[in-house]
Amino acid sequence: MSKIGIVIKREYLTRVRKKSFIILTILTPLLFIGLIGGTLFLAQVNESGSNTIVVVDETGEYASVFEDTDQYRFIQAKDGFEDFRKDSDEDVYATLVISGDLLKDPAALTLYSRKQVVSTAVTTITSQLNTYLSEKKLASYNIPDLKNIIEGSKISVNMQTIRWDDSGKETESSAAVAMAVGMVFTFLIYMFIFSYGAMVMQGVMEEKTNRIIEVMVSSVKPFDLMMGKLIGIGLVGLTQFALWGALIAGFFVLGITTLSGAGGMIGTVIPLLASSNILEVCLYFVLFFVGGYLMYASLFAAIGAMVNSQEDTQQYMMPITIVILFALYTGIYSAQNPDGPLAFWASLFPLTSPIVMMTRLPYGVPWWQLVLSIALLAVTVILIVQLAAKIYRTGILMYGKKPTFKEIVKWLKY
Amino acid sequence: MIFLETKDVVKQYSGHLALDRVSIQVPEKKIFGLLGPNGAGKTTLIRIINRITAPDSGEVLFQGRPLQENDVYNIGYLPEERGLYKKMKVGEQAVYLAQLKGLSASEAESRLKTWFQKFDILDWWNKKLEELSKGMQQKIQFIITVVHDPELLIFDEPFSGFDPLNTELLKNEILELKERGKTIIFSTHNMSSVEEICDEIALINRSQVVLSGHVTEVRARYKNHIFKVQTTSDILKTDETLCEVIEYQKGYHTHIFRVKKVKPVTNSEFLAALLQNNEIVSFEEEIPSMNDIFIQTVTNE
Repeated sequence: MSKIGIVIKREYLTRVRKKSFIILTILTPLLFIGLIGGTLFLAQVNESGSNTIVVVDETGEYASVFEDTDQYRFIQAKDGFEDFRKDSDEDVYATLVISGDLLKDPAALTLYSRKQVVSTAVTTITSQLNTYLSEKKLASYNIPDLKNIIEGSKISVNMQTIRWDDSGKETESSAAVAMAVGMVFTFLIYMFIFSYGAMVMQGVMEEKTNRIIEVMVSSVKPFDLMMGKLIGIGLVGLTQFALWGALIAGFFVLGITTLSGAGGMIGTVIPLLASSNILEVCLYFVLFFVGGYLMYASLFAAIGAMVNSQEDTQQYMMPITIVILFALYTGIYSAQNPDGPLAFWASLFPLTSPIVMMTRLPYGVPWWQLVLSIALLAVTVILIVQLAAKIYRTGILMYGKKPTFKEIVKWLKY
Repeated sequence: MIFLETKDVVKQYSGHLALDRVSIQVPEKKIFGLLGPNGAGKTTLIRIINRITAPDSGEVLFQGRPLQENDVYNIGYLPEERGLYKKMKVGEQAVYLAQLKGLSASEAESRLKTWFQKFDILDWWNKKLEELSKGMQQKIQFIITVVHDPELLIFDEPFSGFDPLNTELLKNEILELKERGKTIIFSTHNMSSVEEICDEIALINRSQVVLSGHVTEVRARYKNHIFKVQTTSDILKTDETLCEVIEYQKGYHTHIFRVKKVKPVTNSEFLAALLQNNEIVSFEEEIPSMNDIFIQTVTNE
């Protein structure tokens, strides 16, 4: 086995065999699914118990308008407003005071409470009042059957979106699913590049601060050592991605078989997911991850080689973090306009393309743009890896003070 | 025969010259002491021999031909700043490092097991490095340095961090390696160990070789003709043109004189002259220690 192979093997195996890796890999999709399921579940279950809102209606007109909901119970006040201010009755959630004709003075109502009221309380009150008031207003025009006329004028269209492929074949597409798939992969690639890049940096720093590096470079060329580390850790990332893919696919298959017929949300999502180019997206994810990872992780490796302690990394990481974050935000923004100029250029520019392209892919990207983007990325990767290797080679053997920018430039020339 | 030779090696770091035309010759199957104060350039020279860094000019000859990449398989290097992977199991990382020195995984394992057995530490094999004491880690690092059975061994401050017991053990190991025909470069500040185990030395000070040669020959070169003479009488009867008494000390039933030989005669002639008039109990020439030579050379620079 070549030396680089020996290094890859160690870097890969020591990480994949770690308990934390195994647990995280299995738990993350579970957590992810649990989080979505939990949110959906909680959203359906209404808040238990109802809060009492006391209505002090000085006009006497509106108090009867309010209807109890699951969450709020309305009671008409028998006493005056001032009595409630002093009475610290725990059962009363809030006190609504209506002091005048709301059609003439829309601001003539106030909600008093001892705790900060939640927004649903406000919307419940205002929406009930609004409905009543607009009906009252309509009635005041004295046009017969006006309510029905307005009802009939409310039109809602239900548009189907269909995408033509190159041969003109129709495929049903869903902009919402494309956007969701794009977002998931954008975040995923961002997370992978960042966390595995940071892992490379940690690994390099570990070898430097451990001083094992001196023994290492007396048997391996620094370039081979760096590449071995980059490839080994990159493979860990791909392993995790593959395992997640398998786990999630497994869950969905399970979902289909158990929920078939019952339909439900999963039932409608599956065909849409299947119709979107998810496998193609996965393939490009791997490609762009490899490119983006090699590019950024080699920079992270160079940083790890430059510094002597964790604290020093911040300063050097800042520019890289800014670029990656810029790419992420561009990606998120591009979801609204995946073929706009920002999305277009950012998905070609190698420093941002791995992340931004993920947003665009589910909407379909012309093949020449993909080829150009990958070609540019590949060239950049080669350049940056070489640059980083030069910094790495010198940096790993330098102890003591942090190198200045001038010194780093000099290292590049060695 | 010269096993390893550096010829006019120059290495410039930003701002300072680390090595200035350094030439050393390491004879085969001998222990070569590379001496010098901190920051003199020893580590830089060792890194160049290990092909960790490249010299700006000059060359390194390995067995008479220019040093090549594959030669690192034939070098074992124990750096001054030692370190291994803390979280990795001892056996596993030893096998890993041995593989990087060209051994196959199975070969590495069997050789390592033999060494571990020799040092009686086989039960550490599956322990993580961080579970071991510093001295134990040093032993493992030593084994890793020698396991691929290289012809050239480079020990940079091998005894630092060892207790006297383990220092003795390590010293014996080094001497055993020499007996088995290995060539050893030994860099240290510990001058008494140099006298004990080195055959030849080179002293580097401020980037240059300022002194080199065979240890006894170097020490002889620094002789200043001082003798310790023990007699039965409290007066040393001698001629002032022959020698002068520097120091006198009364011993138990004897009298000890430190004298400086002034006349250029051989030691036998000098002793013969003294014997004529005195009852000599002992006669000994003071040869400067490597420690004295080191301090003298470095401070005079």
